[in-house]
Amino acid sequence: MVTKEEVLKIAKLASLEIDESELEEATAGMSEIIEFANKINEAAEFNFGAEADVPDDALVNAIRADEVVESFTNEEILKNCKTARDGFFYIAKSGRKI
Amino acid sequence: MMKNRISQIRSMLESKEISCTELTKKYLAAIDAENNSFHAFTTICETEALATAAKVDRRIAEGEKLMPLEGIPMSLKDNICTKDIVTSCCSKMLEDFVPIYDATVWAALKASNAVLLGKTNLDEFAMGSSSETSVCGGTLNPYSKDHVAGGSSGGSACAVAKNMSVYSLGSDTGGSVRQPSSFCGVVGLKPTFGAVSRYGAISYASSFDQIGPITASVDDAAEVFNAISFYDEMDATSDPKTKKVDLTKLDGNVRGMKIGVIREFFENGVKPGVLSAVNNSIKTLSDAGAEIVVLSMPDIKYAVPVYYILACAEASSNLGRFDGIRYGYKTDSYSNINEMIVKTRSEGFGKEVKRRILLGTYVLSSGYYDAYYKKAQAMRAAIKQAFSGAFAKVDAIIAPTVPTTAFKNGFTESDPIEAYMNDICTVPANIAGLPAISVPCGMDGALPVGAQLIGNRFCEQTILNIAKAIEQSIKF
Repeated sequence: MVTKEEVLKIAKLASLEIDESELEEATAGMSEIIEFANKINEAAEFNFGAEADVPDDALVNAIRADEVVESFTNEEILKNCKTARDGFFYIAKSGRKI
Repeated sequence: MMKNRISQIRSMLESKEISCTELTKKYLAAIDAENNSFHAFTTICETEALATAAKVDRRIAEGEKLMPLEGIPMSLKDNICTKDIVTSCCSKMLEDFVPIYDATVWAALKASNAVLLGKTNLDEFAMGSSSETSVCGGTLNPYSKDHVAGGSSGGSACAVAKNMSVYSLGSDTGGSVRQPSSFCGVVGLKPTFGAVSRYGAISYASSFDQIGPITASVDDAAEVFNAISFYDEMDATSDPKTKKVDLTKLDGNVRGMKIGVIREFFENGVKPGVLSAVNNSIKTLSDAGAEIVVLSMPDIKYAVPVYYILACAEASSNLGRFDGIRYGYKTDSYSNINEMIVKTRSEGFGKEVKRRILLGTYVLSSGYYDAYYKKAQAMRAAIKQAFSGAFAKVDAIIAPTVPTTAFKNGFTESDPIEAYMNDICTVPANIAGLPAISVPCGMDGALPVGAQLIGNRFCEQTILNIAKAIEQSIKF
């Protein structure tokens, strides 16, 4: 069971806002999903039927050489920014609907 | 409807039976006629499609040899970046986002003059199994408008099933290519993790996401897989070990193969009609000379919470980038920067996306990390090991793709946890990074059923070949 305080704490960590009117429903929803996630704590040991000891050929990150290459232009990088100014990302300290 | 659309269309283009422009216009007309009822496409690229078609026609007129997939009208799930074409993830957050680069898969297809008809509908940020969390509205099932096309690549599956697109590319994080393919009666392949570049596929859960083809036939799936599967230095998890499929050896011959049946995939909750269709496929394979080996993974049901814990943890981190500053939705009413970010995210993301971000944040937060994230990672390793053990005994594993046929409209919203549990047969392949394919294997009433084949890493050839044996055995 998750408390309303915990939901608010998690929402803050996730930079999401849950207002008073949504809190009840959000808490119930969180409790339900955490109860579901908690199924993995039902038993200390799990049996997935592994019998053979097979070497793991896990992926290793393939990092390319760190070289300076031609990349995007300043204009392209700012293309999707709503409030670019003078070639920079620009965010006003506050904003109000006009 | 013809099955092997790609090879047939290629020979029609080569013999000049039809021009690429005429072909493209036919597909655009099909979209025009059907899309308002089914909501498969979110963006239609008529101008770009006709321009590419004209280029292909010029090349044919000059006697040039067609490149693989050249001139074939296709579509892309709207979470695959397309330069200068909106890529929205069907979210308010990205509704006007215009990428400045192409995803690697699209760059490769574009270079061989693939004709992009448009972008297809999906659950918001690919989070869902019905396409209903899309801000564009859900995609309907081509066999019954009371049912969903599935998800999250529902638009792609519906577009291929209704022949609004020859083939489509979807993405599969926990079953999002295979499940809608099963619901819509088409073929869906999730390649081995690392076989297809994820560069330019908008991230949901980076250690699970994989782009894959949705097609009308197994041969088509193999051809598209070959075109998109190669090492890409732009994706740190791209794997040079990836192997192309030898199309000349794709004959559906399963004699002598060992095919595993994991008992637990056939137990509780599998709909009788689904069970009987998949069992018929097993009998077909056995009659064709395959040896069926019964295996057991007693606790495989825990794969579902393991998947949701890990995928949501990765999502909570990946979606941290949406802050309204560099791209995407931005709130216009705030009193300080922090409030701007919080309001942007709260207004821009839909309910299911927020639910998953919150779960992911919870399992990564101090005090809960060990009990959830760390434990789920250990279970992921155990599940991988179990599959490695299974593939020491068998060449492939057969299971239902989904325990049910397509959901009724509205089902996933009414019971999200029940909908999560329905991913039981698809998530294990993502957890273990294995290739898996859904192939139509029959009908349950008016709705299609898919059989799933899971293979060992980089054994796409094996599962495509078994899928072909099933495809040949049924009239669908």
